[in-house]
Amino acid sequence: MAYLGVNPILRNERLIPAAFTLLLAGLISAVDVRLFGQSWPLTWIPFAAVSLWPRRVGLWGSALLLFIGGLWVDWTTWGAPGQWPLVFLLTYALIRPDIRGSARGLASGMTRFTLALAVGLPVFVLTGWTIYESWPDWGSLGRGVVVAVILVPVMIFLRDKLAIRMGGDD
Amino acid sequence: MARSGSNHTEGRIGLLLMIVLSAVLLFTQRDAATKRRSTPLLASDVQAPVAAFLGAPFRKLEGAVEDVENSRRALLENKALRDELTELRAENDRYRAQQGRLRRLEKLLAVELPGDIPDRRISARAVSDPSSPFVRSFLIGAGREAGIQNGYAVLSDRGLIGHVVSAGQRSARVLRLDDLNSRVAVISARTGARAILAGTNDDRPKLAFVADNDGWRAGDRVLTSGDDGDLPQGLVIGTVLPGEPLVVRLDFLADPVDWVFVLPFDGLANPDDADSPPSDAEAEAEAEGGSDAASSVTDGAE
Repeated sequence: MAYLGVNPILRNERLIPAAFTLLLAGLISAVDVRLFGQSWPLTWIPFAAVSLWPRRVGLWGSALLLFIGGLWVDWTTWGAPGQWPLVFLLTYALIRPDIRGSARGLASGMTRFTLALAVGLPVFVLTGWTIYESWPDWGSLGRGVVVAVILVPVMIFLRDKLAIRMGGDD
Repeated sequence: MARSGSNHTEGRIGLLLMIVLSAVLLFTQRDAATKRRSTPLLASDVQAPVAAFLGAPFRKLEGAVEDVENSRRALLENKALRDELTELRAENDRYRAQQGRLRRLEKLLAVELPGDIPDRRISARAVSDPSSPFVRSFLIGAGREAGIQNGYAVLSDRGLIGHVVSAGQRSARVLRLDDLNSRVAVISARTGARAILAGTNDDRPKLAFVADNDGWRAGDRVLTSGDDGDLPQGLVIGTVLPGEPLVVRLDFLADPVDWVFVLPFDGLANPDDADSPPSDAEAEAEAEGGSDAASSVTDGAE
């Protein structure tokens, strides 16, 4: 209660690495890896960046960046404009990284990613179904999520290293 | 403290506003998205070189895994390939003889076939292949500067992959045959039966508009029919698989898409164009015996 009742000091400079990560992840999301006769898309990497969004940053700035970042991912992956922004923003609104506690380390990072996935995945599927009037290719969707799960620990490691350099907070 | 509380409320309003904006954008851009016309060409031109750079380590990883798999199968494949080569040599001789005969017959009958596969091909590298759950497309690192235009067929060494739907200056978006929005007129190589190959967003597009007496069956080779006037006739697509409904195994999916060939094919002229009288400039150019469309395409590529 005490935690939620106190407005933390906002540190918007942390949005710079977050924005840069989202930009880079958007570019990477258009690349896929073809292994064992299957395509392994990297489309969920930007989403992983959103799930590890820095805490105690301004809501306005975050919302704007997530909207622009989502549009960028829509463009690079050739998706419907508005789908990824909606996924990012609804996930953000429900997991609220801006008021969370410190979540450094692999276990808490993975927990946050799993929570985010529990929100983002249904939103992505349902918005896609509304737009394309078709369910997604579940195999491709599953492989994309698997790739993200494999790469998230690396992202958590890099974020923690960066957090230490930026004053010790994530 | 009061200022901080006000910031927080403003932030919430901002977040809500962005969510509403995203939803509005999603529903207003719905048509553009389903027709795959929503991505700015400039974004593709920027993305192409960066994606090629970022994708390089992944391509190396794919190559390394493929090398290991290939070396494991090399001995068995070698024997099978020798047998196949012997068969193909004989078949090739027959094919050449038939082709010569066909040319002579065409000359005798003065037949002009607009659906012929062009000899010229533009090579390009597939720089990104997102294959997301709802979209099956990829980006190639060549565009209008290399002579690529919307509608041109894109092939791998295995067969047809799709066609160009938006050609940028130095990149182009290709809609794959398995995309939900892909519709291609096809023909059975065995019976000549016609159908439409409709993408379903998985690896097995289906044959639509098939009549009961068409005689499609498992194992039939599927080629482009050229009936749509957009693609040349006879491009290899895949093989019909057993079961109902009729679905096709796409040949190009057998290997990772890396280098592709773009076929400059202008398609059939629109009959409406012939109705409109030529402009003065066109009439003048015609009178001077200016170069035809085919040669201008070739010049553009060079």
